[in-house]
Amino acid sequence: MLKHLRGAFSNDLSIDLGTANTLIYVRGRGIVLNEPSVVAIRHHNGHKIVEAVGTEAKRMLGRTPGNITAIRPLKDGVIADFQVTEKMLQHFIRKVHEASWFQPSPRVLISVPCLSTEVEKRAIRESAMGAGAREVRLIEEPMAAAIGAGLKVSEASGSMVVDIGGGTTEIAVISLNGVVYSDSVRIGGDRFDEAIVNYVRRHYGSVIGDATAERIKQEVGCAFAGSEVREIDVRGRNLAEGVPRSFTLNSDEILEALQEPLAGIVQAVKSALEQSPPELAADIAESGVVLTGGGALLRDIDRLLSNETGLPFIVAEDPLTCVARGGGLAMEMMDKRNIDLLSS
Amino acid sequence: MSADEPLENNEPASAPGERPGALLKSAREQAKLSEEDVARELRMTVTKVRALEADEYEKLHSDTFIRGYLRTYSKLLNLDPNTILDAYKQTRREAGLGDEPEESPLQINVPAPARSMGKFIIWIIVLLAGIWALSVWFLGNRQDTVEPAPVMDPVSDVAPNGPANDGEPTQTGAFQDTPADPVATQSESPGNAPVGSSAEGPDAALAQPTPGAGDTQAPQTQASVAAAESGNSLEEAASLNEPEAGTENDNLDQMRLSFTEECWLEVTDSRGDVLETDLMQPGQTLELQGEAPFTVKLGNAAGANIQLNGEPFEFDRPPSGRYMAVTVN
Repeated sequence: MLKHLRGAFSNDLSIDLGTANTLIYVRGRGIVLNEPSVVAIRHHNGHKIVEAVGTEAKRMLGRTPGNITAIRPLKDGVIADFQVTEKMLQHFIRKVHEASWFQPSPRVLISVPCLSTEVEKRAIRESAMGAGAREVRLIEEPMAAAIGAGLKVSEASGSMVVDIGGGTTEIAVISLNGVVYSDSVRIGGDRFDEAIVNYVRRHYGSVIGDATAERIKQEVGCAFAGSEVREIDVRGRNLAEGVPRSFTLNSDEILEALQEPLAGIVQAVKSALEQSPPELAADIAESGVVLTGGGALLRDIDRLLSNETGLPFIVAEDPLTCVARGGGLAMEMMDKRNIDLLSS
Repeated sequence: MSADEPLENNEPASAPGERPGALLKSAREQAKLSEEDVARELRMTVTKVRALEADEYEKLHSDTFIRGYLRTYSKLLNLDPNTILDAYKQTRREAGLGDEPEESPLQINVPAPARSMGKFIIWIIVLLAGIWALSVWFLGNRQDTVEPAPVMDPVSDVAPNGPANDGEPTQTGAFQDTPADPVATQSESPGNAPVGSSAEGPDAALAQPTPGAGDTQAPQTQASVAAAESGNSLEEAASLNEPEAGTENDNLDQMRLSFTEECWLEVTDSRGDVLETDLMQPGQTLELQGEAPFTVKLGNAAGANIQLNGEPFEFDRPPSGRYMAVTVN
């Protein structure tokens, strides 16, 4: 009863609980929060105290003293640390209700990877309830991404969406408000960063952090051989000398570094196309495939997939926020019709 | 030229209002690419490329795909995708459509369930509680502001039907309705000392309410009506106060308001004291003294004229019936 009363003063939220970033969409207000899914924990007398969450905690990644640990509570799209996820969600829910006098108790819709198990779904549900939500609904990530990208998912026509997130790449063929075929591969932005770190270690004998690798990916990273060549100056610790050294990387080198994870994504997309029912495959070939998620911002990834599959690939508008926005629209519809959109 | 290679920047001389298709076509021609080259590179059919260049969007898919095609095509030609998308949005606007598709991409044809009564009842209870709280607050406020009228002095020779002053301490009690001779009234206007101070003088009762207005809860509107009826009496009465109040009020500013239409007003002086709150009738005038600047809130600003220290005060009048707050200085 108390939760319902508090709920009257809370907004309904659509949460994209991603491995790299958490986004919150509020109906009528749009995206109200976009922060890294990072929590800094201080260990004090055997107790764990939350030191910082989100952007502030991300700045601490790799720069913490012994008694503080900056961790990412989600791995490969699912919860790796239940308690820390709960604390992080609690912090974010409070943050979007800053003006409220009461402790918020919103209804939330959270997107989950399409191949997540019942245990993983339950962990997400319970951590959201523990964070103060009074009702939790789930939606498959590619479904939310397709709605957010503006694909007409209700029509009897196949639409294919590839959502390249931080931890996973979700591929789905959607028709009549349902997922006809879906696949999830554990390749995403994190694997790209990891590949860049490994490449730099192998070719330059230097170690760089994940944050530097992410910056390299965003600034000069590309996925297609014919792209314009860009350069970036990087500093890393030389393994042989043990001192920081500076060197220059160019986009061709990054393309070489990213070959393995990119090949994994291409393979997953081809496999999805092979397994789509022929009618839907024809629809997809006619209209094209939509790319969403932060990975879609990798330069010329659409050209790579287009070249490899022979189909038109387009990047959705504002691909980072598609899942959260689509979740918001889905929640509105679920609320009106009192139905669930989760296919499995 | 191979379509696989990125092209040199072929930014077209885009005239404002030019259609996206024309921009793309001219850039393609500058790059010496055929429609077939573009179709091969973008993995689209030639029909689609032609439709894009001819702005025939009905032949293409939904808005998401059209934007995507335009973005990919402009990237291929090394154009700024935002220029092309802005031109596309302009085309949509010209066709009477918004920037974004209005229809939600998600449509579910399941009948909406009947709403439960629980929520409705909770809202009714909250609404009733709100009304109750508001009325309690309003009544409490009213009792605070409306004080009982002071005990009446039997002296009523001068103003037998004098103003039924409700004894409000902030009111100067000096407004007069003098439609017959407003100039004279202004020149003869007394010090208009507050009721509280004038009540100490021997002739204080002259400015006080008459015994006839013995209702202890006399609202202020009655006071103003009575004032309107007995303006001359009050003038005489106020003039008797002059010896006491004159010296104190020499430095005060004098404001005169006249009304051509019915108009509610509230006047506060620089100290924030409310000098007058009333509904004025057409033809009524009101004189007040206090320290400028005065804040005058007018319910129907078109029907009010203001003079400060004898000088007309001009302000931008809204249409008849509109509220306006004016600072008179």
